[in-house]
Amino acid sequence: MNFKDLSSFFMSEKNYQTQIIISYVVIALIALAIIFIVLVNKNVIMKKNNAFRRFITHPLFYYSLKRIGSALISVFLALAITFFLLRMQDLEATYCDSGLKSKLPSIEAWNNYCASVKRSLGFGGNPIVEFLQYLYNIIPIPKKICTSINPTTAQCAEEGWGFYLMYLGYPAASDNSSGDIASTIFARLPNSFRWGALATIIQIVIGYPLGVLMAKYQDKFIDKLGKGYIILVDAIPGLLYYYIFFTLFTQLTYNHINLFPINFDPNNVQTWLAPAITSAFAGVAGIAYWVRRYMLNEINSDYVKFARAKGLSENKIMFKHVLRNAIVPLSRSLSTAFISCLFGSFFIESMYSIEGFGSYLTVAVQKKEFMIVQGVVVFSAIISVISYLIADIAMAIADPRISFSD
Amino acid sequence: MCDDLRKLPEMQDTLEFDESLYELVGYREENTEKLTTAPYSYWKSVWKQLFKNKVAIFCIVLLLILLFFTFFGPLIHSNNITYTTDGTWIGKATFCTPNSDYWFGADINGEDIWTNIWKGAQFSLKLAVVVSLIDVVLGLIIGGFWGYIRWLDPIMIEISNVISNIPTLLIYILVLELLPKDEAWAFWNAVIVMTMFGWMGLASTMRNQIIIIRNREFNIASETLGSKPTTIIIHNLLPNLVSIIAQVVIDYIPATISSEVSLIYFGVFPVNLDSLGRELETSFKSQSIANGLSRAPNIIIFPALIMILLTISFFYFGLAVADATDPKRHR
Repeated sequence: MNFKDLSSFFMSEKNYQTQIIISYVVIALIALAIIFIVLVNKNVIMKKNNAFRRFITHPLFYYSLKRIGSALISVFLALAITFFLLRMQDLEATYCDSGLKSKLPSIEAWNNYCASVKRSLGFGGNPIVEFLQYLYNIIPIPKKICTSINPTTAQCAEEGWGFYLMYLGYPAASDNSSGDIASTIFARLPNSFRWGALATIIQIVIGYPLGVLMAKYQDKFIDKLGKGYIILVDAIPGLLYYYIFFTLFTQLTYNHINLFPINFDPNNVQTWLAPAITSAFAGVAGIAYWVRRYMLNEINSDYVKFARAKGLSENKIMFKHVLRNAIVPLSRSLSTAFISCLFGSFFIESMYSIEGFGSYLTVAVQKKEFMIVQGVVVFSAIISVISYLIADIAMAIADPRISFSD
Repeated sequence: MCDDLRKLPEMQDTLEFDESLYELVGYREENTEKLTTAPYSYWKSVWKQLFKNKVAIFCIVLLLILLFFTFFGPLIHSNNITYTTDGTWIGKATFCTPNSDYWFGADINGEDIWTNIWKGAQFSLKLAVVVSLIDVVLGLIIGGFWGYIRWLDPIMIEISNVISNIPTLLIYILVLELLPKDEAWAFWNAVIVMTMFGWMGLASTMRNQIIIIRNREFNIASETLGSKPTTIIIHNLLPNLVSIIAQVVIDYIPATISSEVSLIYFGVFPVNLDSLGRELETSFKSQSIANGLSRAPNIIIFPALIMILLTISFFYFGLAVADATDPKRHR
């Protein structure tokens, strides 16, 4: 059985019963493993010292587990806040087609229709029950969910049962009926990742050398220039220079200089440049600022003086000795840079009309599609938690001196 | 090996010593406690440090000029009249380059950019000042408790984690939907939304600084010597905190202007609200609609320039104040 067979087995509706059993077994195994690891770490069971125990009680391993646990709690709380804030909104105008009001025979019929639409989308009833249902829906196990309710019988419609791995609801607008929110987000994420990754690369390629140069020539011309740039980026509103860059690229394209085309095309790397540069303009300043600061901390230490006394060239000291030590706290910034590219993208993606994660949110807010807003919160919380975890582990790998034991 | 004390007088004989260079003034008891240098005054040193910084003075002057025009600009010259004196409509002049009627030109709606910029700046600055005052008061109180009460620490850390996990812009938009959409309420709606999480930054900085300073040697020594809590707060904590607080306070103003611009972009404020962010949005949107940049570049340049000058002068002034109020940099 190869991977394709396996994935089709899990994605198809036929093996529903088997899938349910398998997923519950997997969940039970994970729960048991967590209990086992905690017990070993608390020295309750398995006190013999062997390789397996050393792996389980490794500070990094146990720390990651604890981090995931606390991250899940904060994702849960973030979700709860947005869920109940959304329930306080006036959703009738968005979700009930007001054109039907005159066509339906009575106001009761319209109310009935409205209630069934809301019920199918998962709100309008007891909010606590619906919150629990929502939590169950986003756990990635195969499940059957009722997506549309028959207005006359108030029961699930015959064709309403859908099969989902992760269910975030459907958007209200009928023209957007291409799929449910989760699959739309999954379809849109690669576009965001494409130009986000390019922006991160640009930030690092320019930001790191700039920071090193600023530290090397402290209080000289290049340092002052860099400082001015950092202040500029920090002070003026981000949206303003997004606008300025957008205007610049638009004018270039209008004047037939197709260096930075503004029409995003997923298959053409050149078109990713315009949004990536717009986003990286701020990121370069952030990275340069921190590189400079950590470098200056390291520059006054003894090993640098020793290297200089040995007669090493200034460039070799900077890029080989100092940068290696200064890079440790910065390995964290890699993933945060990527995350800020994705989250700062609400404006950039809608400016350059990229069909990505950020522009989905902007459209949802403007159309008051609050189920989409909630889906975006779920995804962004999960992505940020994962990336911070990766950042911590990367930092521990970059510097063996860091330990996470309390 | 120690020096033999009995040998010292012999050594003194060998030194060449010109006594005519010295004069004996005698011993006065009242002079023993006096310092010949000027006594150290914290606030005097702050002023001295601040006025040594030439860029900071330039920023202050620039700020004063901008503030003057913000309040008196629309009074000096205003041109939003589309009717002549005899009552005939002269039509709207759209996409104007600067002229004697429209000092900064006119935008896509035929409105005078000069008037709109300064009226918008009035709103944005008022909002920024009110929001930063509330944020600072909340941040100082909450941060103080956060730093002092130990059991509060894990709870507050969890709260800040949750807030950092949600895109805050979303929460702003959701809460704005719940507030009254009346135009008269627009200002206070913005204040409520922006102060909701705005105190977080200052509070966590306060907490970190209090924890750091509380464990410094000089504070421990002072506590051991029996200083009163008020003395510790006024003499040990505050001088070290002033610099950080000053910077955060002044940074709140450009930050508030910035988030106001973002909120305007999402279209959550009433359309006819005059603010710098609105002015920017209309000007930049009009350039993409009708290729206005080549026809009247001033439509973009003036609002952007005023915004940049205003935020940068505030920001740099904040940095200069932070440097000047840092007691480690004095003398």
